[in-house]
Amino acid sequence: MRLLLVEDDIKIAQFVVNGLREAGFAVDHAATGEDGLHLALTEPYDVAVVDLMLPKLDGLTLIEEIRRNNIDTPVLILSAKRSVDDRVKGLKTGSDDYLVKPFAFSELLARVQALIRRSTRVTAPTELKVADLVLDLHARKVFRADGEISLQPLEFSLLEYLMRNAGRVVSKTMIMEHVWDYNFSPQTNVVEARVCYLRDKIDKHFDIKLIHTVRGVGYVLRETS
Amino acid sequence: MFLEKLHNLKKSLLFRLTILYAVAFTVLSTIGFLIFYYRIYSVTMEHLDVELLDETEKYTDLMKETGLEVVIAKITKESEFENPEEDFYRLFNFKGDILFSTDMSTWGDVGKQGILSKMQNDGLTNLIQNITIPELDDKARMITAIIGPDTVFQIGESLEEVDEYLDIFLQLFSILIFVLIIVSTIIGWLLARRATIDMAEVTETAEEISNGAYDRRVQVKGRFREIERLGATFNSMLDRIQSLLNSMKEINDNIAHDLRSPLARIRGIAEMNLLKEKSIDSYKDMAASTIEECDTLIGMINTMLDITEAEAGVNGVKVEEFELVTLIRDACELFRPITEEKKINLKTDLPESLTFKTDRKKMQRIVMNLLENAIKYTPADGTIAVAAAAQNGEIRIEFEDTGMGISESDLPHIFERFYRCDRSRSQGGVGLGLSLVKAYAESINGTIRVESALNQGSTFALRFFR
Repeated sequence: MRLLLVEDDIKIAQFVVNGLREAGFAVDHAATGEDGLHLALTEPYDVAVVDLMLPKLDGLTLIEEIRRNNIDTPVLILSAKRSVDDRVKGLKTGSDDYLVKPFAFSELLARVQALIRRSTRVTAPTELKVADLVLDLHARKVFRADGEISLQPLEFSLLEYLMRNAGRVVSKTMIMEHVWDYNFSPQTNVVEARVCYLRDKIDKHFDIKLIHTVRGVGYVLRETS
Repeated sequence: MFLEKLHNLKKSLLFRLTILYAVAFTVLSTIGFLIFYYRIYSVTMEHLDVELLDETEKYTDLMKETGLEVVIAKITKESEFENPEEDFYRLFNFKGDILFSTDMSTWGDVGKQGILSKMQNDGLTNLIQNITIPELDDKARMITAIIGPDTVFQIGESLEEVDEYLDIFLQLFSILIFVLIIVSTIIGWLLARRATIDMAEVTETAEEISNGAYDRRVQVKGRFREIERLGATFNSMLDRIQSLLNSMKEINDNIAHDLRSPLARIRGIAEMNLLKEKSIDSYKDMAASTIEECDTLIGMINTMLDITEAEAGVNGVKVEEFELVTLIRDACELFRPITEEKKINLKTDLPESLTFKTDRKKMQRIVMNLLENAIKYTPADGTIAVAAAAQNGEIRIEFEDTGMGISESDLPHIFERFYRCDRSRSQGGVGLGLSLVKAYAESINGTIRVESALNQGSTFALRFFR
């Protein structure tokens, strides 16, 4: 997958580029709006990540130009502006998602991959599978090594979210937002407690642990630790 | 330079008020005088006309009773002592032959047959006219009357005397109006100055304040009512600004403290890791704790912005209809692991259904914050009761806990930003949760009240108007 990053802050650009490359993306980086536009118009990208406040050409104009040239590459805006107005303006201009700085890299990665999935239109799966863990989306049932595990609705949603993002780290904020529809994080460890309960049911009686904690970042569901 | 000064003067309230006063005063006096003058003039003329008519009537009667000779003799006698420049008398017949006339050398041709035929056409027996004495350039009043079958009588009376005393009036008035203009300007200036001098003092105070003397106030007592109000409003505004400044200063101190602590931790841990070669786990620990501290800081900044935005009313309110009972149950469910772990009895007293139309996200956050707060301050084996009900067109939600409670001295401050009952700040949190709850509740037409007894528990009561 080819990705274009237009970001003028060199340090942010560095860790985003490194992170995305580690995640398997071929990343091109432009430090000004002009360079970004030139690359976007000449190279075929699967997704673009664009900062709003850029030298020479601002992010919104850049996106407008890209859309005017009939390029429908999904665009994610990365900006320090967090007001609802700014978000709406960004999305109206033709971008597909909006992430506020400072951000968790894992969230950026998840959103970028979601944009690619959306644009390639993979048909919705009826079943999620990681190692010997199977989640049946229709029957809303969970099996591990052929034995059924009974989960409460909240736990089921949490597991579904972790499995949909299998192999990717998801932060507590992302879980709060996507599983429970709260766009803020409480100070108490509600997520931690929930994951703990879920882990008891999924991993306790098996040798291979699937749910892992990445300290300070979040949780990941994968076969190897 | 001069023009600029003049321009500034024109814009001055003092100058304008003075001029306005003087002009108004002068115009009104002039109108008054003109009415007075006109009245005097018309009354005098009426008197004169009555006199002239009386005279002609007298001769008409005399003519009827005696005849032309007696009339002429009588007129001759009466006109003897008159000044021929001021009065004339004459008699002529219908053909225009003069029967009698006093000396009319100054009067010129005042007209005979012309007037007569006009009178005969209109069927009049007498006619009063204004004429001019050409030699003397004086105005005069003249009556022409038919006093006998072939006799016309004319009297002219100069208006010189009348004009003279009207002229004296005019002169007197000119002097008076000149004095009035000066006096009214002075009075106007004094009055305007009295009003503007107070304003100037308010301005002066404002200037002092903008130079940093925030404790200065305007003297209010003994001024005009309007200025008194201006002063009082000004003072209360200053009080508000000062209290805002003070609370901002306090908030700043608190922010500095709350920002500094996590920064100090991040810096300290990073430095320790650089001083000596450490294990890979130690570096991982450092990275993880850095992320945690950063998340705390970001959360704090975002919450502060959320509060400010809610208070300022920017971004508006996204109204949607939702089931409040579900929202509260979900929140309780989310905290279930924590309450179970702490052995807190979390009870709910909710109706079957309670739909509410307002900003759902804000409501969610209000409920979460209050619930989290209750859990945080309630010790093990305590009880938290959440109740909601619709009553008289409003929705009430209550959170009652058997926690540590809030002391009476802390109670008035708990909704202030960064206020923490625990001065040492050893308990978690940054003291923004309740400020946010209050700001959010108020932004969606709600109120929040708190009752508390130390070591017994607290009750937070929300009221929303549907």
